[in-house]
Amino acid sequence: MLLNKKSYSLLFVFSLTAYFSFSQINTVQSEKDFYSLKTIAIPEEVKLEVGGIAVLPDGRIAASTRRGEIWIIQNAYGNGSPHFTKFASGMHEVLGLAYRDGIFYCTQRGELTKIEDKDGDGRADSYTPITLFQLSGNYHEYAYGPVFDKNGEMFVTLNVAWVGYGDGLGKWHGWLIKVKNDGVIEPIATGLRSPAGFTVNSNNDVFYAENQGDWVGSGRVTHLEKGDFAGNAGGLNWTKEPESPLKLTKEDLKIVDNGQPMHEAAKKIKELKLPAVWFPHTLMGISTADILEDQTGGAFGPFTGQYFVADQGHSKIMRMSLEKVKGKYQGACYPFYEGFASGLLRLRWGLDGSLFAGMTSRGWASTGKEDYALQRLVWNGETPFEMKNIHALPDGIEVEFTSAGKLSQIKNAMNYSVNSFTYEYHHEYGSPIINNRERKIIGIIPSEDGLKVKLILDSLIEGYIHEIKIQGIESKEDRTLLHNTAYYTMNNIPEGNKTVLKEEEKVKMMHHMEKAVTSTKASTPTKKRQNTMPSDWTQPDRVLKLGTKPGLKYDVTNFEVKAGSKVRLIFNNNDDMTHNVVIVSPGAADEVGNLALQLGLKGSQMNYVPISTKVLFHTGLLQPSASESIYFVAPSKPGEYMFICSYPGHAAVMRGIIKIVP
Amino acid sequence: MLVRTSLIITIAIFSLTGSFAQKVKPILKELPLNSMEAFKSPSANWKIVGEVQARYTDTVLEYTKGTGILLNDFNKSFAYKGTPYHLFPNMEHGDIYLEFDFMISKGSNSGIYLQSRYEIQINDSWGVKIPTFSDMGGIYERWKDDKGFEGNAPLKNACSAPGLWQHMEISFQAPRFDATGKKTMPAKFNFVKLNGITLHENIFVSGPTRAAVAEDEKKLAPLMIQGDHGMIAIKNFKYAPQEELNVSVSDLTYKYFEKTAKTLEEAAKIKPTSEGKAKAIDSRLASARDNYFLQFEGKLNIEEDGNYLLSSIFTGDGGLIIDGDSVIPKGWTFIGASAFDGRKNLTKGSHNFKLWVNKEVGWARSGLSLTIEKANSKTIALHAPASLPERAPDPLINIRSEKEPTIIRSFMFHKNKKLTHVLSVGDPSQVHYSYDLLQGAMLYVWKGDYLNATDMWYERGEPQTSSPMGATITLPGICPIFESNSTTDSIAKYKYKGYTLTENRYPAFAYEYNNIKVEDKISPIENGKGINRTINVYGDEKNNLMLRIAQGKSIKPMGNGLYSIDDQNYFVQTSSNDTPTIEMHNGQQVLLVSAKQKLSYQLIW
Repeated sequence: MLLNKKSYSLLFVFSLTAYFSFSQINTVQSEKDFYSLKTIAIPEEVKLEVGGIAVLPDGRIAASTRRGEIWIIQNAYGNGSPHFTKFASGMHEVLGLAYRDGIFYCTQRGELTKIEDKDGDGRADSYTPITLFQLSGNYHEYAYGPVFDKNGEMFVTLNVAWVGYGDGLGKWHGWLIKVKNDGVIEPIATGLRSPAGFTVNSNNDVFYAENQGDWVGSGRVTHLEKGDFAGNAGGLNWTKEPESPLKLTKEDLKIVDNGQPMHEAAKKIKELKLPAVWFPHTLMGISTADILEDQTGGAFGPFTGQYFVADQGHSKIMRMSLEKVKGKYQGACYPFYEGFASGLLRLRWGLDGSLFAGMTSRGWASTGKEDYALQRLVWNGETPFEMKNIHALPDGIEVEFTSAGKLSQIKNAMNYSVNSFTYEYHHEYGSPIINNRERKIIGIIPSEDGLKVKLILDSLIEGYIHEIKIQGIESKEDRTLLHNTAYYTMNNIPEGNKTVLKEEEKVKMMHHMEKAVTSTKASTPTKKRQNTMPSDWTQPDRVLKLGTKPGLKYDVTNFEVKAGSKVRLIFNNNDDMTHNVVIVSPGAADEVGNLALQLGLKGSQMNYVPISTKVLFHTGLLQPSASESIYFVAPSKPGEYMFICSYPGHAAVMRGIIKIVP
Repeated sequence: MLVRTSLIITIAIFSLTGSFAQKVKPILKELPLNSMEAFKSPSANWKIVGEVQARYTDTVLEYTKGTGILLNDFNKSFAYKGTPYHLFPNMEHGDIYLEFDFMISKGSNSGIYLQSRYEIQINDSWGVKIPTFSDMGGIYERWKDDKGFEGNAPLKNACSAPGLWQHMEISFQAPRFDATGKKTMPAKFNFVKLNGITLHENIFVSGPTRAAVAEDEKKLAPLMIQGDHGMIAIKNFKYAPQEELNVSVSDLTYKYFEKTAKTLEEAAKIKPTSEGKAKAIDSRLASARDNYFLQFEGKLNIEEDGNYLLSSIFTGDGGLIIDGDSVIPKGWTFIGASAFDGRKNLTKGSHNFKLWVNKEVGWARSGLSLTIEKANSKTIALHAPASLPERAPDPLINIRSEKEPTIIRSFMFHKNKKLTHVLSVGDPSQVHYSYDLLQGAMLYVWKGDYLNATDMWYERGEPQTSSPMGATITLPGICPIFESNSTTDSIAKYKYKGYTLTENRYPAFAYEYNNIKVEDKISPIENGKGINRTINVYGDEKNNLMLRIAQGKSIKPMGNGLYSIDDQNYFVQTSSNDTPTIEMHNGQQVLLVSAKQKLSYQLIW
């Protein structure tokens, strides 16, 4: 098995080549061919650090900001200039906004506020607290919402404070609460760490998105019901209050604070609610934000009833499908659309079924480089070839496509791989991927119309995330899959009979596994990563010192090195994120960055360094506070060689140049 | 000698940029004001008196017999008659820090002349929107050929109302001369602060300002207080002469260990990765960024006996040993966090020292500093300037209030406590206030620039606080509802119910207290000299309710409904309809009035 794992990446390079060659055949291939991203021009003097968006029924859009203002925008859908009017101001970091019957509702750090324009001059003149929130004065005590449910009651989420760990210092911080119109608070669920995005779906169920952090191994979306504990301990400070629907204490949690998988911990802590869908850290996004159910009835594409989940750090939108198994929500996440201008926090449907996206990246770097932005994503009417949905089977999974695929390719086991893994549950920040194993596909059952395929596995692992990768399947219109990876969270395995496979449905042999055995070892360290001074050197000719600056930057971005000289490069990762240094051939930065992104689950084992002749030298993947030296002989050919951090999401911006001079 | 020369250059640079702030508080001498003995043949207009007071409308300061306050009992008979009416303390000064409290009457004018030559103007500039050099705190202009030139307007008008005590702080550097007596560097105001607000920082004065006692310039000369222009009272006059510090480092050597040593003990046994003579204490002698041990040894040459404070910034473990004494004991810090300080009595002569750092903190930057100072001397750096990395400072985010009142909610510090539900209102008239929504309590009033939001809006905004940009009057920050039996000032039953904006866009705050509704309106006085507050109470129970207008350690009636609060720190003007009473409550004086009728009063400062 070990050999199989290592070889997997090699196989992947092979398939990737195929992928690129297909892309030359098909003209329609990128996300941008199916959805257009429109930018709403923000006047120079407006700092539209969007915290909340409300879509008004008369065609206007309202955006609340971290600087405490509400701006109303006319003509936000149009091609001409939008018109910005300041409706309200003076509030404290407004991260949630709603509009109902001519009245605005928003959260400030310290209160849920009702805002009215009583004299009708288009400017707010009445600010009424519906309820006040107790605060300790910590910067991390954010408040989000309100989101109205079907009964017109408001939901609000409150962040835990950050004091080296998350703690609910103010009352109900770390909680989802319901606020009645008279201001009375009904606490619903706790264990929330940084619940910037939450929604009430068409079934009146509440879902919230969580960010990786203490007690949170990776981003995730959780269905919250009264009395649930979603995992982070900070909010448990308030379970002793008489209104609290659960009595769980921090003390109770100690027995499971040992890094076991969360679904194991949930067997001992009955209040602990498993996420409906895990969003694997860096493989999908790095900071899940808003969630929105597709209620556009097809105006936004073929995903009605599914969900879109924003990611602030990666400036993108992911897709999520849900189903109920044994009465509980679970489902899958998929890549959807990337390339937003700033840190994507807020999503709201426009009146026409387009998607408004509100952004801010202040204080938290995002791959979209703008400080703030407001954009709108519009479907252009063409259906991408995608994994539309994934369902759990008693002994496998069923993948549904957006359009019919070619049956011969669907039947080919070489085109699939399934891996299972999970995360550690503990008070520490984040988690590595653990117990990563390839699942064996023993049967493939396509539907006659080519729209669905059942993958029968040797086993399913309850509680685990199942990664499904599909390569080499085309639609009947010769389109390749727009995205080839999805992650299904298998909290429960459906009951039912196991499939009896017909002979032609059985998978005889996994050829890529065979190949795996014969492949070379993945190597560390290699000549590309020489950590000790070569014995034939007396000393390096040059020592290059490289560190980082906040916001995905190296502290030095230009070196000049004589061709053929002996170089020692010292990389000191003084950032609070993980980074590496990969020196690549001239002009190959994008290519190597993309290859690294495609490494998927194997990325972290490979230090996110793809196997490519374009990679000349590299360090390992350095945790914060770590440093590493590599020794290499500078290329003999002069030119501008780039160095990049190939960690997913970093390569586009975290770069520098080593100029090789004669 | 080489070391010495470079050190002097270093001093000149630092005194210009003020990179290393002094930590040792100056040892202040107080000018005795129990008699006129501290002054050179004072003229009869200068008196020692007991108490001084004036309303903001009074052109004369009233006084009582006694001691403790210096008063210029000015009258027009000697207006503009010059030097005979000025006052000269006996002491002569060069570089000096001084601070004092002063009070002037309406329209009055005086000035503090450093070395009798360089004037910081004192003038009643209350309410002036854009001050010039001749307004309060200006560096007065120079005069030549019947024309004024130079002169430096204060950065802000921080002037309070006449009749209130104000506080001035001045740090002055005398001109420098070479051996032939030729001036090599002009006189300089390191800083001038009025009521806590910086008016000037690092401003050179090319020569004596107008009406100086003489046109020549000197190393030492007496101070001069102008007496021929108007009434002024001065108290708590304190000063500290400032000296150059003569300290140098010599015989400096270094030892550098890359990954091989982590402690002084290990470093003593192991062969260093590199070693040798060092020109200066310099972290760049470590070629690695991390996992190194670096130590410097040498002589610290002291010219004058004294108690010295040594301070070091580094990343990792570090310490300083002088003559075998652990002056900065081993401690862990990083660049960007606080420095480590140690004190030692050092006699004139050479002292052996050892400074070391073990850097094993990958995420923090490398660097090493050593500075030395003693009371009433300037701090000097003993390290190479590039030994500490540069840190980009946070840019100022200054909220202005230009067209309409500008409301900002934030966290805010008040009396060392972080309040979380604070609302500030900036007004285009440049009179502003901050208000605690939870208690309906005024926290600060101030004039000038509005609000500094850097700590809230720059990056994550970790303190999440804003702060007033002008000279603030700190108010008690307590609820207007008075409960006589309450032992705390916090009224739990006072419930915030929001605010509406009036036609002029000022907030009118709503509260509930038991069955009573309260409306609290605050707006600037039309002339911009203070703030109006109106409190309306609705409900039958109001007849038994008392409202708190002011609270402080002293409340003094000044007649016609005017009160001065906290030793003439600010005025409260009540309306003629009200008959407030002063009561003692929890050790403080409280100005109270019945809630039966609408309460309206003004804060004036």
